[in-house]
Amino acid sequence: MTEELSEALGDFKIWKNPSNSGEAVAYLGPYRPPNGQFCFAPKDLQELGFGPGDYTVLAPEGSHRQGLFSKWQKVTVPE
Amino acid sequence: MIDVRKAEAQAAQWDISLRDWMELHTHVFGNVDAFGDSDIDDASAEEWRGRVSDVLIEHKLFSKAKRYMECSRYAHLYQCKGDGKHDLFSPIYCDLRFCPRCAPRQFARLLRKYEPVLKAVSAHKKVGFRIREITLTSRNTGNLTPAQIKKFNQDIKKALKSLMSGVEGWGAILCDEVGFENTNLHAHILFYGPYIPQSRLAEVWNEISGHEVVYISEAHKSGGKALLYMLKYVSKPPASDPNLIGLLEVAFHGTRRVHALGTFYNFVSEDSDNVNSEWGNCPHCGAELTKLPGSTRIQKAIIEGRTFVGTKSTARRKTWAN
Repeated sequence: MTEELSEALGDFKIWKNPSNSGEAVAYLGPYRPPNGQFCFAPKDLQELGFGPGDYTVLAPEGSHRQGLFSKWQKVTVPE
Repeated sequence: MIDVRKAEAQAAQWDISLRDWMELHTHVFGNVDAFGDSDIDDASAEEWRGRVSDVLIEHKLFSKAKRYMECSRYAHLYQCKGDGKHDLFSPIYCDLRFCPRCAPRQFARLLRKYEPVLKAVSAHKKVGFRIREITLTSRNTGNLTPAQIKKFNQDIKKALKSLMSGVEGWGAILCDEVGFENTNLHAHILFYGPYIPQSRLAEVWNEISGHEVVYISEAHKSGGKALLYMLKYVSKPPASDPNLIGLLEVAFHGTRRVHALGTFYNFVSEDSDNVNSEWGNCPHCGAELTKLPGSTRIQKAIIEGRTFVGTKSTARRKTWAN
């Protein structure tokens, strides 16, 4: 993904999934995949400082509408 | 079942659509019981609603029974008149007082309607006037009828008017309430006015209504918070027994549960949502909406990718909702 395309499409959104049923899903904020990637790998989330656990990622609206990326992505950061 | 208003607020905070909020929860939790019929666990809720509806049918409230049974299961379809011709859906709610799905929305609406007047008097207090919390009770007869509730409300109005005879500027908001799982009818009142001794209140209440027990104290919270506290009783049904819920719905048929008195009557905020839906335009492009014929299951509308818009059937709320 070029920088221009990335800029045009906007940010991905990331939520931390609850580790037990009593917790709520927590919004972590808008982020962009590093190095022109079009999705987040576990190591990308680690580099952002996110600890072990499951995360849900929403691709920018324009991108998934055009079929560029999968709308939702699940990423697990290992222990 | 999710709280749609809370979900909307959270979706707005995260800058995503309500549909995406639901998809997120589906991804995270495996399912989302957004409108009460999305998974097998909801069968018991539908059974419960069916039993409430049976009571309404027994009392010949056929239309209400149908609405209660079908609440939040179907949606009207809309399309915007903009170039994008966005497809939308609007859930069909029953808007009945004792519906667990509709009560929170009614609570939010009533709060918006009555909050401004309390904020106004809090900001411009008359000398000697305070916001006070009053509870007026009635004897529990084990039964409730529309006539009994109407008389109870009339008695409250008479009692307060009698106590405030010759006093300018007093006001009150009252909310009828019943005890949890019983028919103990009483009213919580937020009263703005001069000091009233409890003995005098009890005497007048007894003279007018024949009932005895009253409570009065200065509100411990600010006007807005006191209102929030009072209206919390509206936000959820006062019983888990479907038979009792059905009987309460019958008893309050044609009767309001929340009333404004004195100067508050003239100064409550406009209840514009009763007249014009806040969802008049397309949330994507702002274009006007066209209602399409027919209705569909809400789940189907979501799967089709339609965007949620709030209810546009507002007229009946004015007569039935609070």
